[in-house]
Amino acid sequence: MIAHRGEPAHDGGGEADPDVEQRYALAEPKVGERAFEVLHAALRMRVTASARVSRTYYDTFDRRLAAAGSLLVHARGDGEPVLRWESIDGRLERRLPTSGKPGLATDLPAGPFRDALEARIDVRRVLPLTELKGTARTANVLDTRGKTTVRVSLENWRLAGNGTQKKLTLLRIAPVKGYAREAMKIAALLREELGLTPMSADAHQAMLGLATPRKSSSGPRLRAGMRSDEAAKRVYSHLLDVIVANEEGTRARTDPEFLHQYRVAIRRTRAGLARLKGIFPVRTVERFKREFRWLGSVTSPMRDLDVHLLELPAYTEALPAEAHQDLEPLREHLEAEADAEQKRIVKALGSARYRKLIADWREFLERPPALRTSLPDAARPVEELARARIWKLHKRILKRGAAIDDDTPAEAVHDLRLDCKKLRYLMEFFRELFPAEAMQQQIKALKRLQDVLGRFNDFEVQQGALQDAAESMAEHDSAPLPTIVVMGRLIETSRRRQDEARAEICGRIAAFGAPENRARAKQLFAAGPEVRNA
Amino acid sequence: MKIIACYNLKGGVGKTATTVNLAYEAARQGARTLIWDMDPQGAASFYFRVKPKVKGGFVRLMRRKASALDAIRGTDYEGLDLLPADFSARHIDLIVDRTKKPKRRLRKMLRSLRKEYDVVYLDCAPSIGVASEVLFRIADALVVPTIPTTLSVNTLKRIKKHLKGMNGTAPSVLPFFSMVDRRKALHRRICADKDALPIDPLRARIPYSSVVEKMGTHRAPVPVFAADSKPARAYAKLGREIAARIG
Ligand SMILES: Nc1ncnc2c1ncn2[C@@H]1O[C@H](COP(=O)(O)OP(=O)(O)O)[C@@H](O)[C@H]1O
Ligand SMILES: [Mg+2]
Repeated sequence: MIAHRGEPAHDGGGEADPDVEQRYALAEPKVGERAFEVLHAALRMRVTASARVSRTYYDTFDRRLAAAGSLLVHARGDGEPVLRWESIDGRLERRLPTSGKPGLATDLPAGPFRDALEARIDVRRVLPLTELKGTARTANVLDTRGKTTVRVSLENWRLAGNGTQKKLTLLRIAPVKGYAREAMKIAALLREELGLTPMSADAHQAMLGLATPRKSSSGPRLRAGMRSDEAAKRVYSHLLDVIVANEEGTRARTDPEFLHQYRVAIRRTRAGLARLKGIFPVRTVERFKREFRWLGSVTSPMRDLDVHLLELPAYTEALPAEAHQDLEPLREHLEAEADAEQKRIVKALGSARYRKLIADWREFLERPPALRTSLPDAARPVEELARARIWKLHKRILKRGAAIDDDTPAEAVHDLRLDCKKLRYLMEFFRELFPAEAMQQQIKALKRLQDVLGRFNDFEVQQGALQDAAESMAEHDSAPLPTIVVMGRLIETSRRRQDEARAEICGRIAAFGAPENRARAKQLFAAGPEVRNA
Repeated sequence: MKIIACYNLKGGVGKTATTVNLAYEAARQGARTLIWDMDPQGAASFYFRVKPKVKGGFVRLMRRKASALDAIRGTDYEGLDLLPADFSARHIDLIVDRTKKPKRRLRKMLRSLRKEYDVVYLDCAPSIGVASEVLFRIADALVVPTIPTTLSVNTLKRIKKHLKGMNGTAPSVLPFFSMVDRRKALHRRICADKDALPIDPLRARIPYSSVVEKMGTHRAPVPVFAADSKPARAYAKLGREIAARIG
């Protein structure tokens, strides 16, 4: 289930900072044992016996410590219990022996640790975020004087989280201050002998479920009058940042939100590539379109499964209590499928094709646009291009919407839904160019229509997925009859709710086409005569 | 950041043993602690198995060419670091003499450590030259191990007199009885006499004990190999008392 175990090559760690801890995510405990043997053969080491240990990571509800680049971990089982304050990249900042669970800073004994923590979190309480239990074996690498120069620890963890358990094998190589060279030698040894490379601090955070998914934060900073190609590159770069920021979390799959944000950024990129023609060379656009489509398709089944897994509690609630346990095989089935999908994602994200896509895309985006261009829209002022494309799509949606009544076949509804999606992406793509208030209202109006179209579609997908799952489970004889029966009931419920959504669609279309919305859209997007003549 | 200098004009009174054990205990309890081995003999460095040589030497350290932070080594104990002794520290008085504004340089150097450490222990060489003059001005406290003998009492008087001229900027002087041997009548008598010392000693006393001598063979602070021993408890008590005095 855990993503990057054992695929060290694509861990993005690269050259490590010699002063900080190097962390290796290993495929399995056996690899760790091998690493221990390799080090033992090459170095003078004092090894301790394996001990049962636990680690609990803490932060405030608003992640103050993470924001400050810190980790707070309560370590128990090896030696006296200590609260360790580390930097995210693995440098011990402070330690405090204490057996009690941390809460408020003022609960701690007076002293420098408490003062420093209080300065960070004020009156907030730290809460346990992740609990690891397992075994750890440590070894001290010694120099000729018998002095410890590097601390090595091999940890086999069980990570408990929302009903499931993950297993992690972690190898940590921590140089004692002033002995970075010795740690680098060990890193070289592990690389040469076992092909291991350390993971990034981000990957470590993600693996432990401590990272937070990142949405696009500040905008790409578009200005009216900017060339369209330059503006588009800014938006794409911004989206690429989001993609990269959620990559490790997507691999580690500690929170489905990572994949979601990752995919949203990809979809927006694809929407831009598809809708904004004439600003970049066709061949370039076609190539990236193809590659991002690939990336979208690799990650899409996982997202569907995530949605189902997230929906499971709601499914369960809809059933009488005695039927709850009948859903357990379905959950297991979905989890197994998710594991398989996750492997595909990890493989894709570790592939040369993926790395090349990201690197080439970045390279393309950072290249300044050519001064002279034969492309029709490249040098056109971006607001003009944005208005034209948005307005065209907006009109098409009104027209398609008008043609839909309560009996129109589902295909037409789906076409409308896809158009709405495209419009939404375009509006968000260029959002900064328009008056914020009016744009927000316009997006809100569109969103109301999208909601019902989305629900209509989601229930359909849900029925299909349940159907597929039931068939696949029946095929593998993995589902008892009550489970199949219960699933049949879920499909029924889903169908009913889809019908309800369908009945709402016409009303929402009408609302979207209401005079005030039309007027606002026209004001925002319809080009004035002066632009048309330009 | 507090600076605690373990100081005595005399050698062999337990300065290094005290520095090592107090610093170890401070670090164990969570203070980010540095030992600065200022004795060219490098006894403190020896106890922590750290090579006494600093690249470029003390001269370079004082002359700003390299930061003290580069020379610092972590010990085997988390939270406890060491700035190793150096051969050229042998000429420390000479260097301090030649560096312009030695006090300011030294202060500046210590300032660079302020973000990294809560407490710095200075293991001083036995002397009362220009270097100690400077130390007196930067330390928050002078912890003075005092063997309960007549000679030690006189030494303490000399230190007191020396510091008198410093008006206001003088560190608090905290003597304590070191290497107390209950079998010796003189030790017993001086320890019992409230007015034996010109400055009131701290209440903790470090007994004369073979456990302390064994630090040399273990090359480790006492609590590491004899956590429950009398000297280990005495050092812990001494540490608490000092902490209370310097706030
Ligand atoms: N409390 C003690 N009991 C017995 N021996 C001690 C004690 N304190 C120090 N020693 C020993 O006495 C010698 C001198 O001690 P040390 O701490 O090096 O003194 P200084 O640093 O003042 O020269 C060392 O061999 C040390 O092991
Ligand atoms: Mg000494």
